[in-house]
Amino acid sequence: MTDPTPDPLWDGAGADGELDELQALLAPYGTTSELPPLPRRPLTAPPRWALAVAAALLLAVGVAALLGPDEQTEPDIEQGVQPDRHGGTGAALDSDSESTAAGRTNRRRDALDTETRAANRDLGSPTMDGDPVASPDEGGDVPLRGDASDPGKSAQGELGAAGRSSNRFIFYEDEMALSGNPVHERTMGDVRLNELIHIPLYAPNYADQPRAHLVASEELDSTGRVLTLTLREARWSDGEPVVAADVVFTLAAYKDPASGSWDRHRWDFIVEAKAPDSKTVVLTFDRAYRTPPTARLFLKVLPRHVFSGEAVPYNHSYRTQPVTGGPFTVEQKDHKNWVLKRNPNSLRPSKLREVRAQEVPEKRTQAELMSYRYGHAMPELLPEQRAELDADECCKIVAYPSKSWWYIGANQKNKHLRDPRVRAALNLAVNRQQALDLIGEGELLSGPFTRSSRFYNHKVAVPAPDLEEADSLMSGAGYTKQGPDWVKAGERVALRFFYDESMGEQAQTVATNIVGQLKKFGLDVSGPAAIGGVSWQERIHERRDFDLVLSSWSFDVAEDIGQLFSKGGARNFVGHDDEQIERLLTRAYESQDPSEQQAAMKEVHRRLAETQPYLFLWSPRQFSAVSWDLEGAHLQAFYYFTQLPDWSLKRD
Amino acid sequence: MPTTNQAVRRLERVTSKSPPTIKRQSRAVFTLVRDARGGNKASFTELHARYRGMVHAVLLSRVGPSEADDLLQDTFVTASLRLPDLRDDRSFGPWLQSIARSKATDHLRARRVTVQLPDTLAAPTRRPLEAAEALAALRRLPSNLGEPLIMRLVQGMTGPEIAEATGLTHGSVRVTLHRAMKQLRIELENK
Repeated sequence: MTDPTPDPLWDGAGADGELDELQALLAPYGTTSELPPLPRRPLTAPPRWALAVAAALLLAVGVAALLGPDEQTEPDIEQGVQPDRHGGTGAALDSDSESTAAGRTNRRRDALDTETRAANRDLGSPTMDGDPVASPDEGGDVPLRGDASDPGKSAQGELGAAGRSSNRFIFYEDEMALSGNPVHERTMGDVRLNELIHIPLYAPNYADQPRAHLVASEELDSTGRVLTLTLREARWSDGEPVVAADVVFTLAAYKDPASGSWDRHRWDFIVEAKAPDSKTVVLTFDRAYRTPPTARLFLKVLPRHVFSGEAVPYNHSYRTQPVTGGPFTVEQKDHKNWVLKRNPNSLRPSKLREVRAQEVPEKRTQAELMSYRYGHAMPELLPEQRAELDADECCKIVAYPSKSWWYIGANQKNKHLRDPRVRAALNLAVNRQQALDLIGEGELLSGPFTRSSRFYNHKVAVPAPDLEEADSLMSGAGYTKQGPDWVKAGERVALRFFYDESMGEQAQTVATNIVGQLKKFGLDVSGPAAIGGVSWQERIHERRDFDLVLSSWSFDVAEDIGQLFSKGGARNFVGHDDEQIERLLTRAYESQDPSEQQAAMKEVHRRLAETQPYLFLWSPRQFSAVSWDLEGAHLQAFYYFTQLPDWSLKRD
Repeated sequence: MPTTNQAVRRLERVTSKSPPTIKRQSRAVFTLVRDARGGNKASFTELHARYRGMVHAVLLSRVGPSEADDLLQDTFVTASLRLPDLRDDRSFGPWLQSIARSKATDHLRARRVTVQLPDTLAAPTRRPLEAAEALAALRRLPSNLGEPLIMRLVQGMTGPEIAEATGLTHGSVRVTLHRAMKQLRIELENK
C-alpha cells in the first residue's frame, strides 16, 4: 500500500520551495566522475568448492592425527607446523611455552574440537593460531573476509569466525588504548585494557562492592589510621614473584610528579606505605577509618623490578610492553590492535584464551562488524544503532550503567568567565535539551553527580533556558547589548571553545550546537575546535589556555569530585576557588558517618549549582552491544571488563 | 550453515522482534558483483555508476569537496582489489560505505598536522557562498543524518534509491531524511 501523502523529501513528488532551493544550491557539489583505471588484481579467489575440498582434506589429516598411535609424529594442526623427521615439533613449538606433552595434547584436542572443525569448514584454512595480529586493514579499510588461497589475507580476515571458534574475544574501541601502564590511564580505553592485564589489590565484585584480589587478609589497627595487608602468592608474567615492595613502588610511582600521572592525587589519603617483608604492606592514612577503606584501594600494581627509578615516565617502554600479573598478558601491539593472551598463572584465570582490542574509529563500522559477527562487544553504541543492532541476530543490547556526565568547563582565568554572573547567564542561555536531542538520550543534570548517585541533590533543579534572566544577569555584570552582541568597555565577549576529541562525533555535534546557541545569545564564541591526547593535557590541564571546553568525566564507585573543584585539585583546570566548597569537601571526606557524608556532598552539589564552575549538562544513557555468542557477560559502571575472566564463548 | 541452536535462536529472535532493518540488495546488484568479481569490467563500471553518488555523499559528509573527489576514486580502486574478499555479495553497498568511511577517517588522521582551510576558500569561486555554507551545515550534522541528506540534496538521489544503495529499509531512510532536514534547519538558523 502506498502512502498518498506527497513527500517531496522522500521521492521528489510535489513541490517544496526550500528543498528545491537547497538542491539547486548544492547540485554543483555532486559527482559525475568516471571510473578510474583499475590496477590488476593480484590474486583471484579460488572457487568455493576448492576451499571446501581443501578444508575437508585438512580436517581428515587432523582426525587421522588424533586417532594415530604415535603422538610425536602428528601434524600440529593448530600451529600449522609439521613435525620434523626425528619426531620433534620444530622451532615454532620449542619456543612455545606450552610445548609440554600435556600442552600438545590439549592443543590437539582444541584443534579438533567442534568449533575448530566448523571454523576450518568456513575458512578453508587450518591456521587458527599462528596468524598475525588481526588488523582492520593495513591500508586503513575495514576487515574483510579472508581468502584461503592467500595466507596473508587469511590472517587479516575471518576475525569473527576465528574469534568465535578459537575462544578469542574481540571488542572494538573508538580510540585505541595508548598505555598498558595504569599510572598513565587517560581514557576509558586505557582503563579497559589495564583491567584485563593488571592485578589489583581490590576490584569491584558483581555487586560493586570491593573484592580482594592480590590481598589475602587485611587488618585495621585500633587508631583506624594504619592498615596492614597480607598479599597472596602470585607471579608476574616474567616469572618473578609479586612482592609487597611492588605495592609500595606503585604508590610512589603514582605520587611522583615526574611520572605525570593524572591520578597522582587519588592516593593522597595514603601518607605512608611500607613493606616490612615480602608479603606485608603497611599503609598509613591521613585520617582514621572505622573499617578498612578497601573501596579506595582499587590499585593496579606494577612490578618494581622492571623500573630503575621511582618515577615512571609516560614514554617508558612499559607502556607498550608491560610485565603483568592479571588475567591476560600482552602478546602483541600494533597501531590498531592490542592482542592479549590468557595468563595461566593469574590469580583469576580467564575462560577466554585470547582477547583482541581493535581500534575502529567509526561507530557505524563497528556496528557493521558486529552485524557480520566479526566481533563480540562494542562498548558504546550510538542511540540510533540500538534498534538496528537489536533487530539483528548478532547481538543483544545491554544497558551499560555509567557514572559519567558531560559538562562545559568555564576557565576562570578569562576575565569575563571569572564573574559568576556571566557564568550564570551562560547557564541560562543554553538549551541543554536541544543539544541532547541531537545525540540521543540522557538525563539532564544540575550538579556533578549522576541522578542515581546517593550524592545527587534532587532539590536542585536543572536550569531551564531563560534568555530574559540571562540578559538581566549580563546587564547586572556591566555588559550592554550593541546590536546582537554583548559588550563591556567597548569590547565584545570573545570566547574560545574546545571539545574533547576522544568523545568523537557526538561531542562535535553538541559543541557545534552549543556554540550556535551562545552566539545567538550575543557572545563572540569561536567555532568549536577538537583537542585530544597530549595536546589536551598540555593545553587544557597545564597551560589552561582555553575559555570554554566540552568534555565528560567518568567515575568509579568512590565518585571523588574533590580533584575537580577544590583549590589545588589535580583536575581543577577551570581554576575554581571557593571557601565553602573547600569546607564541604573536607567535611565529606573526613566524616565517618555515611549519612553525614551524603549530606555534605549534597551541599557541594547545591553550592556548585550556584557558583557554576561548569555548565553541568547530562549523563548519557549508554548501551553496549554484546554478541549472543558470549556467556556470562556482565558489564559494570567504569570497570567494564572487571568480570571478564568469567566470560566465555559459546561452542556451536 | 547454522547449527540447530543457532537456528532456534534465530527463529526466536525473528518471531519475537521486528524484522531486521538492514535489507539486502537487489538481485541485479548481486549479479553485477558476481560478474565483477569474475573480472567483468563492464559490471564493475555499472556498479561504479550506481554507487558513486552514495560513496561521494559518505565522503562529502566528512571531507571537503576536492578531497571527496580524490577519495571517491581511491574507494573504488580499493573495492576492485578487495572484491574477491566480499563473501556476501548482497552486502556490496554497506561494504562499500565502510571502505569509504575508513578512507575518510584515515585521510583526516593523516591531515591532522596541516591547517584546514574553510570550505568557503576551498570551494571554486563559481560556487556562490551560500552553497558552501549549506554544505558546511550539512557536514556539521551527525554522519548518520548527514550522509543520507547529502545523497538526497547533493547527489539528487530519491529516498528509495538511497534505501537501495545503503541496504536500509524505506521506513528507516524516510525517517532519517526528515530528522536530518529538521537538524539542518536548526544548523542554518544557528549559523
